[in-house]
Amino acid sequence: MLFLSIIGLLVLLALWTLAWRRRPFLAFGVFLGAAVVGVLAAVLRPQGLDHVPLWLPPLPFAVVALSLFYFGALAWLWGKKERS
Amino acid sequence: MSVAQDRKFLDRFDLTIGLFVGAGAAAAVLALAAGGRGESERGISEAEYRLQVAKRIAPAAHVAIAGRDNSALSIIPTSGAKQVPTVVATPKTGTEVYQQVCVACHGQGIGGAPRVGDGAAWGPRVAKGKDTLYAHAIEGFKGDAGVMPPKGGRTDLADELIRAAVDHIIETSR
Repeated sequence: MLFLSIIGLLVLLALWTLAWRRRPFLAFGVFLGAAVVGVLAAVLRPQGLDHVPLWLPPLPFAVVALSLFYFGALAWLWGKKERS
Repeated sequence: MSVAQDRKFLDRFDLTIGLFVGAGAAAAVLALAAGGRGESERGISEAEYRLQVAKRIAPAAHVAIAGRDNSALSIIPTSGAKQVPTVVATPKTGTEVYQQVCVACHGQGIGGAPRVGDGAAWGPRVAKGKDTLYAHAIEGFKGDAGVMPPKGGRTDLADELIRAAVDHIIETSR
């Protein structure tokens, strides 16, 4: 199991290095997301599945939906500005 | 959009997607680590853990079937410091047995059970003799109207108490 974990970590590192060279914003986002989750996990200290907040399971869906809405609105507004 | 705006848009999009990927990967790694730590903290083997889960999800009740060995269904007090004291006291008389056990069905006539106080329903049954009624109450009975479980499901009660409860029902239903 430890061997597989190390291999997985190396693969992730290789992918991140590739992203850093070709798409630095993507790599920076990965770093930022991992750091945010790490800090949140350290602060919130998850203890188990006994007290999962009601809003937590749908949170990823909500975040993705809001992001898509944001980028859709951004593309629409910038496109509109360009046309005018 | 101009090329510069396209670049800016894609950079923002990359950053957002990166945030999601990073957050997801970190959450997965932390969840695996937390899960593994929980197992080691439990300090029990996988087999014991599965046994505990099986106990937790076991049916809360079993059905006593007339004509079969229902001794395994008798109520056995559990041991341990966290044992919750039972709320219902063990009945001591036939009246108490009726009030705690029999009334569940015979009070309102549930499942075809003859209602206590209904002389017309009890007449033919009483005519068969008390011994028959005792036997049906203790061993269980399957009639046309429904099924009487052995001792009304309280197989932990003594036969004498069940007989006393039958006497109480007969007296009340005259």
